[in-house]
Amino acid sequence: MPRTKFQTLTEQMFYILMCLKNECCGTDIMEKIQQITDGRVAVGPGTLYNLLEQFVDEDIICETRVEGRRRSYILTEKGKNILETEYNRIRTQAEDYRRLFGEEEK
Amino acid sequence: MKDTKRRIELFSLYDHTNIEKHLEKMAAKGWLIEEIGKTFWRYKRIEQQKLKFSVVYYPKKVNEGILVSEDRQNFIDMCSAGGWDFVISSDKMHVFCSENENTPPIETDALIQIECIHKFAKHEIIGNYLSLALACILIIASFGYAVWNEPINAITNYLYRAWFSPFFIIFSLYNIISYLVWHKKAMIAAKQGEFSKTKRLIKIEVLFWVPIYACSALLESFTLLRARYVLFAIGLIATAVMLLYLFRFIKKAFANAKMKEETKRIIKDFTALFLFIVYVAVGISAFQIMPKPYEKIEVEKSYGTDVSYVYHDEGAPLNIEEFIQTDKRISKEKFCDNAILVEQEKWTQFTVEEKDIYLRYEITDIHYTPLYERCKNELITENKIYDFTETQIKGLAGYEAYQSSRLDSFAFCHDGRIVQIDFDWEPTDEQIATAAEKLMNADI
Repeated sequence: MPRTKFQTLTEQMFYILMCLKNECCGTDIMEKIQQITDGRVAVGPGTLYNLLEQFVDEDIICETRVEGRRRSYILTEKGKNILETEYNRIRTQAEDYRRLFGEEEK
Repeated sequence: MKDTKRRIELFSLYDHTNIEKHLEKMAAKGWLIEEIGKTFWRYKRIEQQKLKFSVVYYPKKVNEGILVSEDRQNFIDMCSAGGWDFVISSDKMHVFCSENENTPPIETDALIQIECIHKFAKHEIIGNYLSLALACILIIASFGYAVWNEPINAITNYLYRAWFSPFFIIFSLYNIISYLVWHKKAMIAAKQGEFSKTKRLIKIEVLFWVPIYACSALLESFTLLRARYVLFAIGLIATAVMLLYLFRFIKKAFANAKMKEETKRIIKDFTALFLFIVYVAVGISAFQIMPKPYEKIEVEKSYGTDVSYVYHDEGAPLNIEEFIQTDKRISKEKFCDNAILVEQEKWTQFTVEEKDIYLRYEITDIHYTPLYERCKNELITENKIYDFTETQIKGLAGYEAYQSSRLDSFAFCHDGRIVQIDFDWEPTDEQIATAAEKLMNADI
């Protein structure tokens, strides 16, 4: 997977990483995303599984615990930075939008 | 009641869209997939139900060590938590189903789905078909090499094995290109967040497979046997097709009849068995009735084993009796090698009991002029066993004549025909000229 892939995150990647602020396992991530977004965003198990693997390979998240077949993960420092960069990018976009459309509304 | 059934399925394995649709139809008929083979898929009987299927490609290998299978189980657990029941795995392809039509899909990111399919397809589609194409190229190359060096041997013995190679190359390239075109389009769509359906290639596959098998069988018959056997083979194929249509007709007729499913199944099975017996009986009878081109001459035990020679009643263009007066029984064995470009007829004649007088000859007709010189080299000029040198035979003109330095053997060629004669005695010029004239003008 090329490193540049995670320079910007898709909506699903963003929410998965957000859920991993605290230690969390795969199945919990799917539920959490449903709750956080009120069902607006759904991450399929196949997509989640592949993304978790890719995030681990890129040191964006790390495995913390294995209980039977249940694996838990948490964000690494690198993951936190990527998430924060993405948040800043989205916020900047939002501010730009507000500056333009907000002024027009006034 | 039969609880499992096998079907020939010709899906490309990356064709998840149509595989899912097909499995949904099968489940609606009461069959759930149990095993996915290369061609045959096995189904087990279930209650007829509406199931939603999802075919996904998990790129790690399934059967390599405990860790990997634990990994796969982890994947299955996650799908299960997402509302999908695991059905079956075949290498890197996994089938899940759900009773709930509204279960969210397993793949929600088109780009990741395409990446997974591509990792799978690189080996399963591109790798396998490239290997097939390369193997066929090697077959064609080795056949070309053989044709250059020993054209008669190559064409009469190996043509039927090599002729379909170009079709397999086209077939392989067609599959690879179709996949790559789909992959390119799917990637463009995935970058826009759109999922792409796969296209089914089955009809074109069938168009390739059926004629290849049929023509291979026929060509092999032509090459190795004689025309009557080819007719026999065509007759058998035609009978099989007719009986299959009859079976389908009977099956359809009973499908709508008001009777128990079990009774219908028994009727279907008995019909199939009966038609199969009819087919075998027709085949055996036809083979028995078919006139044989030869009669067997049984000979007493020779070194403890029965030896039988044959007497071909098809007129030999040259007979040993034309040169030698004998009351002894004579075995006349004929062997034909009929290929598209080269036809060969070989005769061996000898007295059965003593085997003391022999006459052997072979007539080779080359129908493709550029091959003529190569064939002449193979049979005459470069024939190290006979070591032929050009000669003149008294009373014979119009043909190139060659004589072996070691045996009483002669070769003649002219206008696409090559004849080789082995005498078991030292022939006179008159005998040689007679034999050459007859064989150079014989119909084969």
